[in-house]
Amino acid sequence: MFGAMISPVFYFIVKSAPLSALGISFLMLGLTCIALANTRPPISPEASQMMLQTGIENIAALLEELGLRGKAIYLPPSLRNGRAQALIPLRHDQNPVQITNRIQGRLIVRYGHDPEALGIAVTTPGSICLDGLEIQPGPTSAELASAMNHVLVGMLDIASSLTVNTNNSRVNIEVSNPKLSYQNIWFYRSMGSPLASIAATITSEALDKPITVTREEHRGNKNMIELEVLS
Amino acid sequence: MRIYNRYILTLALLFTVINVTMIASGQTSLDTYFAVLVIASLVVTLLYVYLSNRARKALNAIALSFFVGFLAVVALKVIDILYRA
Repeated sequence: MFGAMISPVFYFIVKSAPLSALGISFLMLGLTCIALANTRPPISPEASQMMLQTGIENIAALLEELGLRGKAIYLPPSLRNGRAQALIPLRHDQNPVQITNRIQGRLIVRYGHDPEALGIAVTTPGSICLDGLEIQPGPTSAELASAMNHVLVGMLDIASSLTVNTNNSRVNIEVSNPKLSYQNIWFYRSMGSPLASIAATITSEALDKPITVTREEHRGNKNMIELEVLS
Repeated sequence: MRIYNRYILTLALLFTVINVTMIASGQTSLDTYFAVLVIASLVVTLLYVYLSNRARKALNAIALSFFVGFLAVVALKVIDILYRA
């Protein structure tokens, strides 16, 4: 508004092009600020944090009650009725989990022919974030980094940047300035931190394969996340 | 610092640098100032590829209005040149 008022005054009365240009700069910045302010969601950050915390505590309570200590397996939408979800196996042995076919759309699911191949399938923050991606992410490191940057930096604004390196069945992600840190609680040990969870969901969508979070480490202002691609 | 703050700060710094440089070089044409500011704004918007879809749509609408202004300036210049010829 200030720019819109001073530009004509400087141009027609003061007859100064540089001062008019200054007014135009103010006008352009003002319009950009108004446009960006209108794109913010109507819900406050406090309300969003409250809902995230509620979801985490509910899933944590479910995991603790069932005594599930296994690592969550992030399933691509093709294995789970069109929506990416995380599967937490009920058994705790070290045998690799073999997912033979599409898993039913229920909470308690069977994922193999073995009678003990049971687990619970839950929706994670990453599952919802995938709706914000306009195109399906590709399988290369650059495409994965682009999709993760789009979600974590642009959409959610919970990190300042990240890099992705793929190495055979491992995907290493380095997140700079994360705003959600890792905590050594049951939920994070099973599902990974929200950052790792979102990264794993995007990777499983991109590679169309199940993914698990194998390691998370906090170094300085960086989070190192290691994912394993399951066959 | 949030990505939106970085975007606004980048624009503000760039506009300041452009205005100071052009004033120092003795530029007196408002059309030139406007054209350079619009181009700078479009370039910065393109560089911030990770802005959310909603923000990108809003910024594209703003960029379109700036671009229409830029085209009007160019059209007036062309008409002026043609009249002189």
